[in-house]
Amino acid sequence: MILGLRGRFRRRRVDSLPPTVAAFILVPFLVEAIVVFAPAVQGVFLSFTEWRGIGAPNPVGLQNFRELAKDPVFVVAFKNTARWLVAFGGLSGLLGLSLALLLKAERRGVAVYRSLIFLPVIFSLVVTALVWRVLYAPEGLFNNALQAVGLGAWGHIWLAEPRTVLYALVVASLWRSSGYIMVLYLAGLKSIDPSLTEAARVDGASRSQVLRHITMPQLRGVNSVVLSVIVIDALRSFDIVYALTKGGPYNSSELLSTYMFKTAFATGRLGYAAAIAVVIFLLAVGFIVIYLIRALREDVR
Amino acid sequence: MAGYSSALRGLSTDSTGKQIFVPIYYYWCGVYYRPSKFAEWGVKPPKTFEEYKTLCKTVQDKGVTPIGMGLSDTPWVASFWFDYLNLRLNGARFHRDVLSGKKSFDSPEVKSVFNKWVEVLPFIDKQAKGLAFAEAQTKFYKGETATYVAGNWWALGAPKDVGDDIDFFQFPIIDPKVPVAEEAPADGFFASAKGANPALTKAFLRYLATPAAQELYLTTSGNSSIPASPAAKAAPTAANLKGKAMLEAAADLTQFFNRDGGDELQPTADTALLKFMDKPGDIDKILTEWQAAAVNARKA
Repeated sequence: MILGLRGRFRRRRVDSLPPTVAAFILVPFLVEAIVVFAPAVQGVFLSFTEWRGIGAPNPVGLQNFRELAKDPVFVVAFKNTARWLVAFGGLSGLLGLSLALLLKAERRGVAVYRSLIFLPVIFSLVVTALVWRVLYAPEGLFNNALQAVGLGAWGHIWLAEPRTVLYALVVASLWRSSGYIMVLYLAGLKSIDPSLTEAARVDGASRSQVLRHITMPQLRGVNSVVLSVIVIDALRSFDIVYALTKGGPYNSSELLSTYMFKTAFATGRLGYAAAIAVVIFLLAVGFIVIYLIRALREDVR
Repeated sequence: MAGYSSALRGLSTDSTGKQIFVPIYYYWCGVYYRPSKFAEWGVKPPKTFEEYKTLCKTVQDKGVTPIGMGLSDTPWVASFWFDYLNLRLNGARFHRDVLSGKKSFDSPEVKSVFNKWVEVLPFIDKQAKGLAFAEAQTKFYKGETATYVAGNWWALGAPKDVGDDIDFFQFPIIDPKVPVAEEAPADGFFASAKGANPALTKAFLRYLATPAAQELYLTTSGNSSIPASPAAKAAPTAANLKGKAMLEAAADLTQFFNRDGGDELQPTADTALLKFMDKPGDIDKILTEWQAAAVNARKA
């Protein structure tokens, strides 16, 4: 396959870049360098300083990172982010894939279901949060529904109890993200050649065998996109948490992102906040690099 | 600012003795209630903390939540309770010392505040942490909660018929030996000395200090606060006269937790107070953590 491609495109060697092509590469690169790369590098630099936003940053070496290791709120936020990554990431992948498999076939009215499930994606997350706030209120829909079926004792002040708050927030975020992941998987499923599945069915493969041996391997490309999207979405989750609880009560729903924001813009410790941002960045890059390495190795095999 | 009270003059003066702030009004805080509801439940505004607890018990037996609170978007409301209990038990001087860092949050005096608070915890709305400010306000207006510790702004947003039926009493006295102090936050104006036109700025600040300017502000904004200038006439409503008399009788005035202790300290209080309301048994650990967090926050 690869050899074939190479043969077909080997028409002439490109000795010099035509000026138009060079411009198309250079200009976006410069813009990217100025508005993305430079601030990112500056952020890393700031993480080794103490800076209040005014005056010159005061270099402190690794002190911010040492302080992070001992900071109880950071530890809580780190653990919560890990929980968030597993619960939000895992469930939105699972839900998205299940929904896509369920709604893959072109039947009458299936487009309506797909649109309805995708609908939450178009709402602003802050508006979504406001609606969930009403549902989770002490006398909101959930508690009243439990009351109505005689399970009033199971009621909680969902957003104010340390044991429930993080998962209540995960559910609210899932409502939105599963529709998005479903669309990614639907696109992946559409690109699978139907003759593969048909051939397997003719050979007597069961539904689960088809899923395991035909569909899943074909979805590998989509999987890596979904994984990147999920990891990045999970690590940057901020709006719904900030709009619903601001990380409270007493930091029990704090994520790295909300803690970074508070440290930077409420407490005004920009150097320390940059150190938290560096941790978030390393986590995101780490996950994705590990996955890519594994995926590439499998491809080579 | 001739004739301004010594409390306001002190507030407007910096550590070098220079006057840097023009207060235009200040207001009182207290325990708010609805007189018609109190009559219905057969209770009277209490004077002492013991009477207050009896009142709470009485209304709770009638199915009413004795003490309202809305903490989900405004956790700082809990600081009213910390401030007042500390003022009533340990006095204003100690209160300022602990907020400024001269005394510690894990001291026995501060712990006594929480030992007192525990006595009324069963009376506080169980939903408090899940309620937004406005939701807690609505519950109070509807008579579902009996009392609410707040500033004079508490009554301002009420619908007309309820607004006329809101009154307050002084936060109950706990220890008669402690000189009575009240929370009386003042608002006003600062100006940068490096502005483009200092002469004009000063003229404007001088105007803001006049009775005419303060009366104009308070009447047009519908604010029930007390003008800073003693010569200014505020709309002399019953509440306003009562609040003014209460503050004039007080031995000392404080501003509020974040105004006395600094904004950077407020999140540490929100964390500690909410945690305490959830787990009163962990108070020693909570206070140790609070002290450490306060030290860190002051450093930033």
